Amino acid sequence: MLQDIVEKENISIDKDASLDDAISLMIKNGEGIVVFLDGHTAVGILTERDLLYILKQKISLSVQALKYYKTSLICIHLNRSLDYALHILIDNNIRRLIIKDNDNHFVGIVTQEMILNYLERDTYRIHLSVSNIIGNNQELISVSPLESINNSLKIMREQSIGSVVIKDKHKLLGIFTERDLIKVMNLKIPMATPIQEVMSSPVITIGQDTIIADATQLMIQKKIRRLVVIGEDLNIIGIIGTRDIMRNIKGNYANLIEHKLKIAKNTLDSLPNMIIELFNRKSSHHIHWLNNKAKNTFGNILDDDICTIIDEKLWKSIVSDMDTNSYNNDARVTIKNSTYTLSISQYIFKDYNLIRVLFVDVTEIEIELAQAVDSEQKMLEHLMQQSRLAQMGEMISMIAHQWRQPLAAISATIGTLKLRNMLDNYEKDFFDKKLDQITLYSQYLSDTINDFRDFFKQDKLLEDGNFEKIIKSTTIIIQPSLDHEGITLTFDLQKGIIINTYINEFKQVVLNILQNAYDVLVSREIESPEIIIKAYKSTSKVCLEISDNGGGISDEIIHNVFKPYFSTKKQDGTGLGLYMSRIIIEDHCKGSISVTNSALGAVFTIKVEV
Amino acid sequence: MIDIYKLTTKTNKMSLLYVEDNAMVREDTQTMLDIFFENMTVATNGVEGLEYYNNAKYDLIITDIRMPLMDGIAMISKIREYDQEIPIIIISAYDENYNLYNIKHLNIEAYITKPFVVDDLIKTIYKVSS
Repeated sequence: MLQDIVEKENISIDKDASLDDAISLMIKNGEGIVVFLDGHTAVGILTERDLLYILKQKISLSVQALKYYKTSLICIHLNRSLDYALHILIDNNIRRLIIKDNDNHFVGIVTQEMILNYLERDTYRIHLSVSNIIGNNQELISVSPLESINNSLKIMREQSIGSVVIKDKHKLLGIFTERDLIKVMNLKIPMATPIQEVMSSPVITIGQDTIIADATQLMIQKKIRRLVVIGEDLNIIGIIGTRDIMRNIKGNYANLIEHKLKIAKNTLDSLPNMIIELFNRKSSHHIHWLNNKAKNTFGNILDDDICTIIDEKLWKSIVSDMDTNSYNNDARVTIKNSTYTLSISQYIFKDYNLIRVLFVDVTEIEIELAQAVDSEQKMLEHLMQQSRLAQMGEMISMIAHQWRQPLAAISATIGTLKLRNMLDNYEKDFFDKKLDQITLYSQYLSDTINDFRDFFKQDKLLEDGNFEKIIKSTTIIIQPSLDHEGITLTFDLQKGIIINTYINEFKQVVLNILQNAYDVLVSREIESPEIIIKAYKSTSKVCLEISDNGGGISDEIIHNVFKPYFSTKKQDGTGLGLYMSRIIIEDHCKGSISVTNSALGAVFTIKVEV
Repeated sequence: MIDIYKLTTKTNKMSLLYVEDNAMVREDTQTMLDIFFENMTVATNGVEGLEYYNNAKYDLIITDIRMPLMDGIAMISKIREYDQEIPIIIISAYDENYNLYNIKHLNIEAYITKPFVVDDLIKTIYKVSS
């Protein structure tokens, strides 16, 4: 694209500028050109070549330069391609183009040299040497070193050439070019001065076998437009200029680009990914090319709209993202059971705006990802299961406490009846009473079992529950264990709070915290052990605080208690209880769970939405 | 076979100190022990038990272990400080089994686990009474 190489600095000057100012600017920019601007619009151009003729007319350098411009103005658009510019330059036999934007405002210039500099080395055809493109019959115009500037210029004008070489007999002394002329004019050197005093010397020469790529490189490097070509016998054969090179590579460049494109397309054809190219027009995106893989998948969709294969809504969002440069190549489409992400690039070829869509098959990755997610889910379920098993183990010891007393009472009652039997003391009412009592105890045992069984039922749905009831039905399970260890359980529960949650899971969390408090109070042999359960409603949340006087959790580990496999209980702990509690509260119940230390011990706080 | 008539006649002449904190268990066990011991004093924890022991003469002590204020082992240890003779029976839950070796010096007559089979109790009481 031309906009990548356009030269913008020190090129333009106001339309009223004098010849003197224009020449100064030419020297400054080194391009041998000045563009005259009327506002933002280019209205004229002055080149080195023009100076030759201006001099002939003997015009004062202080007059308005614009009056004397000769060169016609050839302007092209900023967004044209390089090969288009190349055509224009060669076809019109000019050295530079004026570049304008969409509003026809002057942007800068592009010269032959800039394009040569930009073209890739292989464009020049590496095997082509200078002698192949230099005309054999071309007569080399030379002047003697004592010839005046004025006469030399006359020869140049007459021959319509941009330079003369200065020779003394057969010895090459120097070269005088249009560029040297600018210098002469700028320094106001008298026109009668011998040419040898203003020529460029020594002359930069190249052998006739030099390949063109190297010749071009040398010109770019030395910032000159001509090289003198020397034969094997060191005779001057001719002069080669950028224009000659341009002319020669014209056809070549286009062929090369075509060839490169063909290679590129062949490469794209052999790729395992589907690739589709579209014309990028505002209203429609028609498919103008697709690679073999895409043909195999989609069939003949050439010239169809892209929306025949990609959902219109999705495509529109992609296009709008592209317009804001925010498309991340992450759009997903599913075609024939495969999932693809779309990598999209925009480019310009031969003045066409194109979009290239690369389909990246991510089916395998998606499957792996799904498997990873699945295995993570399974892992979590496994942890849940482990944690539940651990809690069940603890519950069994709670059941033991629950059952111990009624079983002892039953065995005592049976003992009584047996003894009465042995003593033949069958007082009917007494037997009835005692048997009823045993039935009652059995009922109690059965209820206990139900409590525990319900506790481990999986919650399928969110349920409304009275908060106080939920807490009490949890503590009833651990109460005998607490009683057994002389642990006081104190309630401070606000009445009438209803929450909507997974009740059994929530109960498991409460029980887990109570069990931990119990363990700490017993293992640390705390005097007057106590657990306080406090619940209150604040705005839309229910806050539950469970605190104990067990001395708290040390600062080093308090941040770790909710992490998996973290336990202070050595062999007895699975390290899963609080981790699963966190999962339940945060993920399932959409609440929060935290722990702090009070002066007496740990305080667990659970907050859930009402 | 133990003659239960003879046994009860014998035991009813003895005095028993029964210590148990759980009301449910205490009441039902008391009803059963009533058959053997018309003369029975009931305490609900170790402190109370020790107080009764210091204020009266008993022929037998039956006690639980895990109790508030003072547990059974602490109470027995105090009693054994001045009384090596009085027979003591422990009726306690299975998982509260103290390492029996550790309490060997307390000279426990029998260790019965809750829930118990009445025959075990009869045998023990028979042994103590004879």
